Amino acid sequence: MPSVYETITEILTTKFAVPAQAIAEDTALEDVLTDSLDVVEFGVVVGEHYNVLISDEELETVTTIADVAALMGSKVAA
Amino acid sequence: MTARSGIVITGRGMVTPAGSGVDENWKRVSAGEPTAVLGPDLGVLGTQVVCPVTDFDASLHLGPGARRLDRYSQLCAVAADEAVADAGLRTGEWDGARVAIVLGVSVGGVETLTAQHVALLERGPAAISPLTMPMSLVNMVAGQLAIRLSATGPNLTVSTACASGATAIGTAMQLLRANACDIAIAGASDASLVPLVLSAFARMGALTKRSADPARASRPFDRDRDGFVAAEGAAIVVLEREDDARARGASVRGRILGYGATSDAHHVTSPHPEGTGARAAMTAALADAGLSAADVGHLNAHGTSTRLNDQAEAKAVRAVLGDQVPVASTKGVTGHLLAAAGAAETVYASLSIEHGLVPPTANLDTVDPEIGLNLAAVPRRQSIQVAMSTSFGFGGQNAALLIGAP
Repeated sequence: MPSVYETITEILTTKFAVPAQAIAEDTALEDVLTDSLDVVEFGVVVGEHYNVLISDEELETVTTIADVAALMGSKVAA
Repeated sequence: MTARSGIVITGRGMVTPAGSGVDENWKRVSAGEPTAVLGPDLGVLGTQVVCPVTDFDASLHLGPGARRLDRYSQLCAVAADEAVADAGLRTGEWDGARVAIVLGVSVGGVETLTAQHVALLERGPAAISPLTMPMSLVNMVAGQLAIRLSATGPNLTVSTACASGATAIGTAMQLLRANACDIAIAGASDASLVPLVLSAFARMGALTKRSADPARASRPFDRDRDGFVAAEGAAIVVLEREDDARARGASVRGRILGYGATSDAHHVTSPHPEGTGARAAMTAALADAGLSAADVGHLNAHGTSTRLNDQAEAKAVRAVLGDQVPVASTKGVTGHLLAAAGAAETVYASLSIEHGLVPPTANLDTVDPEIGLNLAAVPRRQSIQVAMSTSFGFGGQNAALLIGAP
């Protein structure tokens, strides 16, 4: 079973056409996504994958891909 | 003939159920091969026939950005790319401030909107995509195309239901005449073959119930027609003033000679039974072009395959053009492209002139005796200098365009 980080990476590459080489744990979402709409869209897609909802407040707390992985890890475990 | 307009067509592009690209479209339309197939099952409503665009891979044409476009914008972008390339234009080399975009739209990005409504009902407001509005608003197709083509001139969407495509091309012609732009990219797009829209049309009694024989369901002007077949697609033309087009050595594909627009002011969905609004639009187009009925060598009719439209349109045509002009409805092949119908049929009319061929009206087994027009189920070779295209929308909005030889 892939890790949360691996799943997020796959969503970024397959659904958002982000080159794999541009993705690292400390990569900021806003640096690889098209605009702020896409950052929110990314949250919707990741949430849908794990069948959880990410609130605007939660999304505001994340900057990097590692942050997203940590947030999703805690929400999926909860 | 004393046509006054100097507005020429220098590029054409289309994606319809008849194919991707102008050449594929003409092959199928001129052969009269229907495209209708079974679509979403509407259950008790008893109708299931649609004309979809098949084998369309948006990301192949548009790259990863395709996911941020509703299907109606995707179809439009591909058709526009073909039209711009056909015109020999390159977006980086033109003065974008002098490039206008005028697109006809009916319901906009309804595929996105309905999918998001399901998300709202099933998962709640936080599941809604932030791209919902940018993908579904009716003006977005023009806004998205402006970004794609770096066109910073006038940017309009017009909405006259099933006349939208013709209204867009007519409006673009007027912008060029008024010198508000040097290049106009005009046309329309529609992708609304979703159960909500189809059910709504069916509840009005507008759709065919010939589900047992889909290929024969769209049969304009035929005695046994029983409603239209909803279709999706996009068609775009590039328009320029003739002097500008000639100066840059562009190939001229045809002309937009005249445009007439009227309203029935009669009923929200039924055409005026005497076709008065349609007649007035056709007459206005002739006057705009400085032409007479005798100059018109072919009519690409709106001909939806509904009992009411075809009957009212026939009355209007007989009154304005007489009963001898060769008439065809290409909707027998394509189904009803809704907002895009007038744009696609303008392109077909220009192709009829170019190839000297009146296309067949598919599935015309027995002409309704009340129609009284010069129709045929087979293609007819004929030199055409001027063709008319008519389009009529729910809401009583009527548009007629005159298309001329290069």
